[in-house]
Amino acid sequence: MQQKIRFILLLSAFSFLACSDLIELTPQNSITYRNALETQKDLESVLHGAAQLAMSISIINNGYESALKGEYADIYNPSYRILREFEPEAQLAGRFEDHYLLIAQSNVVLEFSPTIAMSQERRQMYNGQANFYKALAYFDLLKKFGDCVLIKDEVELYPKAKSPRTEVADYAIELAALAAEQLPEFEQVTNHLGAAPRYKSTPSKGAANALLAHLCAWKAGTKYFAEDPDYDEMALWSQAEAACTQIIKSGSYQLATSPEEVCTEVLVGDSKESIYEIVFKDMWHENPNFIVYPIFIAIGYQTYPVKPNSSPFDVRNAPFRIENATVREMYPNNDERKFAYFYRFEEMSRPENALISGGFAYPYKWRNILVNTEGWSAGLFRDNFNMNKIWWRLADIILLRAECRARLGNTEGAIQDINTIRARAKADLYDANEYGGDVRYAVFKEREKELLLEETRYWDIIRNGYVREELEGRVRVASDQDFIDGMFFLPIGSAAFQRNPLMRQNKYWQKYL
Amino acid sequence: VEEILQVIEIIAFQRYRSDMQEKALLSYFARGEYNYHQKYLFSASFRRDGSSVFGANNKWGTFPSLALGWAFSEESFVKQHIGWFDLGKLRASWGRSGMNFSQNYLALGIMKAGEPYQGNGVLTPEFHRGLYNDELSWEETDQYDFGLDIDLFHSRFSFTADYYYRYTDKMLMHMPLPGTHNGYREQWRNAAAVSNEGIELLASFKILQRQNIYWKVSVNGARNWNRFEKSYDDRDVSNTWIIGKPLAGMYALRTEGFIQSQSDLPIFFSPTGRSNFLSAAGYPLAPYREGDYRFVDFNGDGLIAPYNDAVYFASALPTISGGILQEVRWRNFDCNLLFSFQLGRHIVNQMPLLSLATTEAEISKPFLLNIDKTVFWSDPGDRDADYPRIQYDNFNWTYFNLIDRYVERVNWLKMKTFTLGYELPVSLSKRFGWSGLRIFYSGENLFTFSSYSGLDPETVPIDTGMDDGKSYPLARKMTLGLTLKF
Repeated sequence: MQQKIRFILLLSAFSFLACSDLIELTPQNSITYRNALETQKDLESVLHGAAQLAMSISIINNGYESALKGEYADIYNPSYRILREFEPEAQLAGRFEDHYLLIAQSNVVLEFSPTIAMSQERRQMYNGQANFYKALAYFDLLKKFGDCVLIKDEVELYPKAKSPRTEVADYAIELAALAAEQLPEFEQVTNHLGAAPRYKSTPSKGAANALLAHLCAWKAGTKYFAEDPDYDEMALWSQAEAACTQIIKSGSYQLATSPEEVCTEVLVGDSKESIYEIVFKDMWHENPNFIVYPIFIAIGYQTYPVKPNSSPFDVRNAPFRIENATVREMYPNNDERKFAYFYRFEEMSRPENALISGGFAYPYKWRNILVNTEGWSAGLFRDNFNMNKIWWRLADIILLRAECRARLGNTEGAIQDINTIRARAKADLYDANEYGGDVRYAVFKEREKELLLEETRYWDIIRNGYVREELEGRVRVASDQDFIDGMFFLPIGSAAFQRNPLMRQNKYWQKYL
Repeated sequence: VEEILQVIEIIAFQRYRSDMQEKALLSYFARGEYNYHQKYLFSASFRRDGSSVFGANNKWGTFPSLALGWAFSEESFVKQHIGWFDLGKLRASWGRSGMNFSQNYLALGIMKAGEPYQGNGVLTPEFHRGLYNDELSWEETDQYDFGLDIDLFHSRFSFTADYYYRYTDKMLMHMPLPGTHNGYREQWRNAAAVSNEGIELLASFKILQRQNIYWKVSVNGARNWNRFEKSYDDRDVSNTWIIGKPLAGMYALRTEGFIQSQSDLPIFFSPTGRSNFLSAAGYPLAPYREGDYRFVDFNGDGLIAPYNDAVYFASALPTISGGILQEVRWRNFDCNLLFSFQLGRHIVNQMPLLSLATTEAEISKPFLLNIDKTVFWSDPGDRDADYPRIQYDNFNWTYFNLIDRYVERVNWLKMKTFTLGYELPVSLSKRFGWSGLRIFYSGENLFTFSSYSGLDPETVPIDTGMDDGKSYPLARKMTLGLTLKF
């Protein structure tokens, strides 16, 4: 009897041992979070997903509206007035779902890359790309929303409050610096087959440095309205300057030869000057949904001769208009940008043509239009350009370095950088009498000229603190506290508040909601 | 593709196309039974189950059960003193059981193939509901049963009563995650709890039981109460389930008659100080006017919308349902009559609403209302109108189906089957060389007593109570038959 009992006990003990393995199943065929990532190729597939999300944060989520508040225009339609004048009813609540999707997607790469067999070098590169995308998401959040929820590597299942924008910026700077360290230069980035990337949408050392420079500059420049301004902005300016210098010296990028080439090549995409861009050109079949989004602000400025079936009269009805006089003043003498960025400027701005043009210039920077290719609407304009969205190009970085140098007191260096850009445009070189000798303002103006309609001006103004002079409407009479409260940012959309009692609305807009 | 709780989850393939999915279940099971002279009954079971479908930390569940019975009619004090007591038995049981969900890889997290990017494949987590959950585990049900069986007067009268209470905990639910900072929107969790309790009664009485005549009546009835007990975060699941309310609840907009004059309407102020009358959500420029329903704006935002202002109104389930069966035999005739009934259901007859609605999609239905006798609101002071003033219903919710006025309380009793038969006497059949002949008539759904305005309450879905006016009533069927046996 005792033996029998022992035997039964032994048998059951044995089966208990075996059991936990039996019910551990790895799916043979279906992909799950646990078994999907086994090779470098799988990791790249996840990074492609991240790149797709980077596309959507580049064009939607109210970045367009933010940029519209600061883009240069002399006259604009009344419907845009309330937006540009910071009237509460025109402020659309922004959504940041896509930013956090990008962060979550990048975290998948960071979680699985240590488990996949590959060389340390390749692992660095994949991690670098993931860190770049995360930093990019935070950079965009910082520009559009200011304070935001800070997610690091975790999947946060609980309510979470926003973190101050300075803290978020610190984390993003850390990530961007890490990415810049981990990623090779653009030409050396390869996929698992050893092939070089086809498009500038692949993150590289240059892209990470551009992101790092912009992040540092943003944190440094926005100190005047930080809630907790207890940080050393000079260190940030020099970090930004160093990152710019790294890009400029890397030799991977080079300025296009003329402003005309900027329009015909750089803005179109895949140029030597471009550092990081989102590929839309000829990729619409993959992203048919994006066609309907306003991707380029220029669509509101450009009519004749870019839009098909338009006439010179149409410029009078463009939502945003720039006067001939402004153009002449902006680009004095032989500045070639005047002729590249505006259609036949000399001819169209003659006084006798004012009857047609109403005295407005014809912006002509984006030229490759997108037309339908099939069906009844073949040949019809799609209100979009078949061009890439350039996040950063070398000219932007050179002028950002000029700004850093002006901040750091290196006037000579700043002037040198301004002159690099002016020389390309065959414009008059810097003269000590310009803008009352204010080099920083000269840099700002140079960025305004060079990057006209490239959706940087709104943030340039904020970074430089020229808000009361250069922005319009309520900003001019707002108090410093209004700036601290988040006037420059978007109100937060309702989804972020669902089940998250710790979420708080942007303090400035809260009053009007 | 898998469907769980009406949610379709798409799982991508890793290497090749196939429908193969695996699931492993490992169980240990023990069971014991004992009875003492058929008087005291006892049984118990114990099982421990592990399944591969659950999260890594929570694969095992333990499920015991226990049942006790006492046949008190076997006790000597009953046997000796009460002769007409045939059987009396009390039962009690408790058991815990586990439910394994059908989705095999839910706990592992789901990845999916996205749209191509620059010609390359894309892999992303399924951000909607695909978040892994290592804690995912069994759904557990605790059930308590108490029963009484009684047979009296040589089985002339028998009676069975049962009471049950069932508490199902850790039910699988896709739980919305807080905010948007996570990336993922929902996670499957063992979160919800539902309770069910009910009484089931069955009584039968043989009124006549003689050689040539037999008449038996059986009546049964059942009543169930269910409650949504718990959600993932102890908050109501918006407009679907409210904690403490029945599951099959109807959430309706409440009305207080008609708006008789514009001054009846409250005025709401926007943040910028603009005044607005009450209006349908999204249409602040088309406020409610005289002759519209006077909706109750429960959340006080000045906008009427079912997703914000609907409140629990009633349960669609019947209070009591059951049947009455009569069996009669007299000489060679036999008759069988079955009634079934449901009392206290709630139903919305959508047919008139769909007929009155002015959009084409809604009026293309098989049955339409004859509005000859329908009264619409026409003048201030009109309180008895059936419907608001006749108008184009552009998002004013007038013909929205869940409005308190449209919910009817319905009782019905239906003659489900009726059979009348005649069996030819054996002696007569034999003469023709047959071994038997039976002639019968049977009818189904012969008539219904009902308080319902629509066609047939029995065809209305019992859980929603929404009669879409598209289902045909149950057919009345009559059969005349002859059975001949050789």
